[in-house]
Amino acid sequence: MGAPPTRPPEEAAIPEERPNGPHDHPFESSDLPVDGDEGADPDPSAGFVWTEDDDAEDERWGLTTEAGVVGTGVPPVVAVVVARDPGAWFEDTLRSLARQEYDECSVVVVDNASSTSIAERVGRVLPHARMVRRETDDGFAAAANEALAFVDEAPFILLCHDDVVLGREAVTALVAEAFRDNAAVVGAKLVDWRNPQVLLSVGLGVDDYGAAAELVDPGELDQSQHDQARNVFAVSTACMLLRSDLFRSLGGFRVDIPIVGEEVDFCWRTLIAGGTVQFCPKAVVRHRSRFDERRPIDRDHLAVRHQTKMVLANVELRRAWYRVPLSLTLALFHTVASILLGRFQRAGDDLSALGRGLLALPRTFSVRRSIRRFRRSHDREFEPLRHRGSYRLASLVRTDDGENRLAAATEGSRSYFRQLTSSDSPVATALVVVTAAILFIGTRRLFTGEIPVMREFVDGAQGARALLGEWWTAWRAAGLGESTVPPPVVPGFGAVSGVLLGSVDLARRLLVLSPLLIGGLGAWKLFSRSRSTAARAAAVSAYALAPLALNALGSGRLQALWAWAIAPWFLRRVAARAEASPFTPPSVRRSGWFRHVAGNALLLAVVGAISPAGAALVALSTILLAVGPFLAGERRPAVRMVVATIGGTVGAAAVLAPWLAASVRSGDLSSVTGVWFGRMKTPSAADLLSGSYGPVTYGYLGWGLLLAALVPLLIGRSWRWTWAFAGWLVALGSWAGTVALVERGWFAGAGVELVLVPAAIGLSVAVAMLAFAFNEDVVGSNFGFRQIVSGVGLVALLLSFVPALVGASDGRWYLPAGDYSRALNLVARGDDFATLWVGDADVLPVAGWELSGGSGLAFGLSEGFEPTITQRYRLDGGAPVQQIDRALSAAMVGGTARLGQALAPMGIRYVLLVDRPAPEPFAPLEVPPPLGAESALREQLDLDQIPLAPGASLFQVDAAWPLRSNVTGLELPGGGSASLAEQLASPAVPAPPAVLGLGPGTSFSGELPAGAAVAQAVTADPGWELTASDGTIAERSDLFSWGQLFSVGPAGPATLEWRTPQSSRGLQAAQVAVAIVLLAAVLRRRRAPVRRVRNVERPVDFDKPAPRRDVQRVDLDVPPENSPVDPT
Amino acid sequence: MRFVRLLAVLVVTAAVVGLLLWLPDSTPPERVALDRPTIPAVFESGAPSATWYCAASSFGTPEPPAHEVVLTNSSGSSASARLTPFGETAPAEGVTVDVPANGATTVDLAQTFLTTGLSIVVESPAPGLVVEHRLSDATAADQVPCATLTSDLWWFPALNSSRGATALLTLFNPFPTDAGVDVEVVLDASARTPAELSGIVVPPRSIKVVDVGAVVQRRDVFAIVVRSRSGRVVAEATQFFDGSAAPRGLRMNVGVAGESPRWVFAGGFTGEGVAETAVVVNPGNERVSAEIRVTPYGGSATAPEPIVLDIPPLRYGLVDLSAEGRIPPIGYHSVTVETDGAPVVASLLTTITGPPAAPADPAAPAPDSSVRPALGSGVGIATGSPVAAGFWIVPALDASAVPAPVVFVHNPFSTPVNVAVVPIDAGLDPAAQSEATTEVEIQAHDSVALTVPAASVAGQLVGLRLSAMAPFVAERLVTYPGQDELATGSAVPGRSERSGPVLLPALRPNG
Repeated sequence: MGAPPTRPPEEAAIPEERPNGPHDHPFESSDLPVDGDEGADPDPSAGFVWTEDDDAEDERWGLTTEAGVVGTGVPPVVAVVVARDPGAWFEDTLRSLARQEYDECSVVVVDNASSTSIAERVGRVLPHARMVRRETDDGFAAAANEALAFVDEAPFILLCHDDVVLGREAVTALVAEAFRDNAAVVGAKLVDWRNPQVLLSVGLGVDDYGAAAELVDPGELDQSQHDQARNVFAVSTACMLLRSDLFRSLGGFRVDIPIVGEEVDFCWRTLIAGGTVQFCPKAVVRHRSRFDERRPIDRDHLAVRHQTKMVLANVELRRAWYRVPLSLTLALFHTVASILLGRFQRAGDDLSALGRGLLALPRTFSVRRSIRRFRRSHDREFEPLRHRGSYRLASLVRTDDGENRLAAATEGSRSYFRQLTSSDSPVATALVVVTAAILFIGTRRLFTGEIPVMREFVDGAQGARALLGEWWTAWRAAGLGESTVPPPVVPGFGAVSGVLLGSVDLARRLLVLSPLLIGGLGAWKLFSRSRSTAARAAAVSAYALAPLALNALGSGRLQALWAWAIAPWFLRRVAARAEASPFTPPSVRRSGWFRHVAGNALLLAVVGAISPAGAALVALSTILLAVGPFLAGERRPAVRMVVATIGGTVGAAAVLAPWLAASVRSGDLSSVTGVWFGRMKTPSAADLLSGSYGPVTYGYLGWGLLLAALVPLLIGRSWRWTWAFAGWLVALGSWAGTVALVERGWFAGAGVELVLVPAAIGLSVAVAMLAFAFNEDVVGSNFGFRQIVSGVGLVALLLSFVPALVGASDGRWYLPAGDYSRALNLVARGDDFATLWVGDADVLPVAGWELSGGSGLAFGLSEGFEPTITQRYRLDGGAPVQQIDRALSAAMVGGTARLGQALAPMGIRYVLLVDRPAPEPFAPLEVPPPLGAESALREQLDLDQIPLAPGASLFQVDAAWPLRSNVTGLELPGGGSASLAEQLASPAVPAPPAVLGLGPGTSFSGELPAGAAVAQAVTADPGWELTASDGTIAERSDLFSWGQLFSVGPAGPATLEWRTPQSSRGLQAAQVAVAIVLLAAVLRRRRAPVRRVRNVERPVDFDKPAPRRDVQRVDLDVPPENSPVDPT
Repeated sequence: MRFVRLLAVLVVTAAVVGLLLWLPDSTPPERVALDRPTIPAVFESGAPSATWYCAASSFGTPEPPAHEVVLTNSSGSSASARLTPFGETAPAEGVTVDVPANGATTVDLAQTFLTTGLSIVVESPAPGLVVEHRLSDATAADQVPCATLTSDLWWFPALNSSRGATALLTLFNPFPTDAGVDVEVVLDASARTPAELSGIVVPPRSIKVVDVGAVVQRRDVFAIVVRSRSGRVVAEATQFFDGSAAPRGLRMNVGVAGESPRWVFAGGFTGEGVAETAVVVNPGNERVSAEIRVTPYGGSATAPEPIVLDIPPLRYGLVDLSAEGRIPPIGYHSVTVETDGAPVVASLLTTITGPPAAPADPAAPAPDSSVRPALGSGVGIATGSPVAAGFWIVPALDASAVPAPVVFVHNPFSTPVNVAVVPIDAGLDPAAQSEATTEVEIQAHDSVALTVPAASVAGQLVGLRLSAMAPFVAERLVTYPGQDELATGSAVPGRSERSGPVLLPALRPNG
């Protein structure tokens, strides 16, 4: 299909005169558009800059102007302009193409699904141009691939955006450069649309991880510093000359990288194919470059995602083995660093990119195969073109204005700090710094030191796989096992461990320590939109240095820590969206309600995954705090806060539904709340109010915080007063609830700290109001009562931090430096047995069931000696727990001397009686067991006491059975024994041999003899099936009224496996679906007024031209029927 | 606004004050005590099994004595029990015996296991099974309930090493690990741990017999405490009096595994030829003042003034009740030992050196059990009870002995109690048993003595089940056919699933 000349011959004249010097620019400033006048472009093809070197080179290639470069005999070029709803500038773009001095340049305009046809506009300027109409916008890459249809027409294709203006000699220069350097891809020098002295792009630097950055700084002036043609790694697609044959060989752009990064990928593949990418300084192109205004996309998000794709697909195999893991590690580091810096969106982008990269692995392999076919050069050959280091890491310190130089970023940070320290409240600034310092110093030994397994600081079991497996199989290792979908924290812990390359310890450390950072940041960000450093400082110091978090950390209360950590974030989110003062400035753009509620739900679900009661308390305190705006006359914000919180609670409940349902069905109140009855020391109300309920004792100084919080009630006005009142309301409610629970002994497990979380957030809000009130209501007024009270409040607040300062000297907030595992590991290791923990519910590291008989003791089970996160959450435990309860209760009062005989078939090899959360010398005695409890265990005839650390009495059960044993020779009565009494009356038997492996799990295989009877020490459940080699399923029967026995037929290999019930699968599916919907809603970008780019995920065969899409070809000379273009 | 502001501050302040008043004090962890009586006790129901430890198997005579175990089943269904013997070496194979419903079985260990010198562990799925063991030879016998617990502390408040007396201590370790034991001797003026009695190792699942009398010589009264350095044991003392310096007889004495501020002896007696001595040991580090109250049967309203005993730390004190003029010279009485709260250990020693005095009037009826046992000699020791219970089991006895065995029932509280007395006699069908059931009313702080009824089948053992709506204390006095021998001691308190024996609260005769 021949292309008619694109311009009249008279316009093809070579410029008579060249610019006078290298600094003369082809675009005169007087001709440049101003704002609002973008379409009024002057002559866009003004002169260009030539250098003597270029002339010599051109002469060598016969491209000198004297030799008639322009005109007949030059290779044809097809300019492909991808346009989508272009603005008034589009005509300038077209005109600049029409005025090209290059003779053989035809134009194809690809209308990428513009909302209104642009054919008429094209026809007016370029009547001979060809139009290709795409009905859907699949991104720039797909649209640019339309050029594949024209590769046979010309050796070169010129890709252009719809917002560029080419200098008259641009095409000539690009073609000349392509010949001169034998380049496959040539990019133009992009300059600013309005100010051509400002450089926009002279090529792209790309690092080892696919991240690209412009080789010029933003705002860099063109002073000929980039006027040397050179090889680069990539150039912009804004104006890119391609060799047609290579374009066809590569299959065009990857359509799964539709935008942002498509040029890097294409150039990368060009380099792989043996081509070169060249920057041509002679081709000067003005670029409007306001893409974000036209199409609101998240560049960072897409960039990260596409970088992952590029690295996975393009890196040579011989380098992929270290480059890909390195890239993953970098991404993880970047994620963590982003979180630490409070850039959660970036962290989310990283995680999203990783997830998508993993999901797209099959397609990645397909792309790699395609690349292997055209690979002509190794990565090392274009290694010099790469950027050393990591753009992404540098971006961590990038300032918001887009500066991407580390030095500039450092400067930005410095200026931020200058701004902070030069604020009108140096005291506030100092307070923030001191708070952070105290937190850091006080926690320093926990960063690398031992975090004991005690109370709720549980272990991570056997690793990510085991934890994720518990969710997938819906068989929990709590008690002797139970068929339940575990609480989300279990798979969550596993997932984090997996992301951290299987490091359970690091995941656990994050689980325990990150709340301190999250909560502190949350308090700092709570009033961030108020622009009051003083209020923010007051809030963060009152929240982070208050007794709750430090004592929760020091005494092993994970539920309280997480509820505390999330509470300020939740309040900030809800109050800001509700537009309550002072949380929202009027100019903030807000997300949709569904998205907002989904975010609320996810936040509460994070808390609820660890502490359902904690999530409820966070929601409840937020609802109560709505009293603040309500009393201030902001009724609608108050109602919105309540509605949003309730909506979030419902959503979170949906995510947590499987565990909540199980708790309601077969648990008790403690199963849901994590709060149990205990006999530990009960603090007085004064202790609770002043913070003297944990290892960090505040004493009288703790009252300072209350005093400070009381001040805004005395001096505050308007919303300062109402928020302070609401804070007090929440705090009083929290204290009242805590006192009520403490009085009844119901504060074991989660501890008083959990119930005091609302008090912490309430006081923090009230203290922040003190700062607000001081600024708004006190400063400027005459000296008097308000000033005095404010001063007293400030002093009281500062004094209340002294105990935290003292406590910080410990370096670990008095958290014990060791746990029972040290001593227990000397006794035995492994998980092929169970341990029965006995003690007060508050000192056990597992969730305890209260022992019958009113002794106040509780008991729990762990696999091996290591209590895991699963075992911190319990339901009723089923028949085995009832059996243990009966036997242990009887033993405690002398009702049996054969406790071991009852426990042995359960695989319980050890009984451990503890009176403190960690042994001496790490922890003092906290709750002594009842008098006679240890004696009761010592007088059991089949328990042998093993000396252990003070604080723990360890007993070994005689002849404990393996978890799966061959009991063929034991002559057990039918069904074992109907009652505990019968079981105990039977003569003691030796431990039977183990079969089907030793450890716990849900699938076991092994050889079994013919006629074997296999006993399994788990809660009896029909979901367990033992399948013989011939496919027959062994008969299952009850054993000892709690376990199960399989009667095996033929000898041979057999498999004992847990079959997940369909009901559990349904719950899991519902849980995942709800989580995905909420996540999708939250991650969904704000809908733009124009259609957004779809990320097309279709396989591409790079050896073939891209499949033609539903395009409409319009020959403007012969308009089709019903064409809106007027041929006249 | 000013009013609202003031009101809010007042409300907040009032709320804070209210909270402070609501929970004014911090309380340390409450340390509860498990319901574990320190004397042998039996579950009526609710326990999955019963375990009894019968330690002593000899009392120092050249010939090994007969050693019998008496198993009493007060339930309506038969029960099985497994007897596992332990000697000075490894345990032999055990045997299982059946005990008829509402009846008793006697197992002669020598016949069953074909050896002597055995300690026995009796285990049964029937929680209500009561196990006693009896040692006897031709001239002496005694029987006591076996222990229901092991301990690392055993008190023996009243031993005797005078001329003609042996004092053997049997240490029984039923556990699979060694036990290390020290025996501390408490005298009236000193306390010490003799080297011979220090660091005694009792190998696993075996017994060790220690001749305490050989170490602590020629003492009319001394106390010992057995402390385990490691492991736990069951300790039982046997004392044989050969008649050279005192009446011939045998005292078996299961140790007391714990102290108590109150001890009740439901039955004691004085009279001609009877010597009764109360021994109280103060195990603490401070001086203790113990009050010994003797209440004659039927005379609670006119009880004599209590005897006050001042006991130094780690010493014992004793009172010869038969020499106390304030105590009626004849008849049964209960004895209560009570301190001001300091825990002590008490025993009541009884020695019969002659028959009851003949009545001055030959026409008067002969002395009978309502006055004192019509025995001419015998020694007995009672440990008393620190608890009261709603039901008691009197293990099966040979009721054909003359004089007949007697059961003492004491009401330590200030309200009357009706006690139902049900015979445990395998020969009685339920209807007959119901007919044989009697009810006895016991006034406040008073006691009654019940004669064990004759067996429905000659030669059969008979026990009693005593029950009431309120707690009380029971003791029994055993006599043996053809022997002038006395055995006294507590009956076995019962425990139910819901409540066990209650530790005796402060007892006031007229309170």
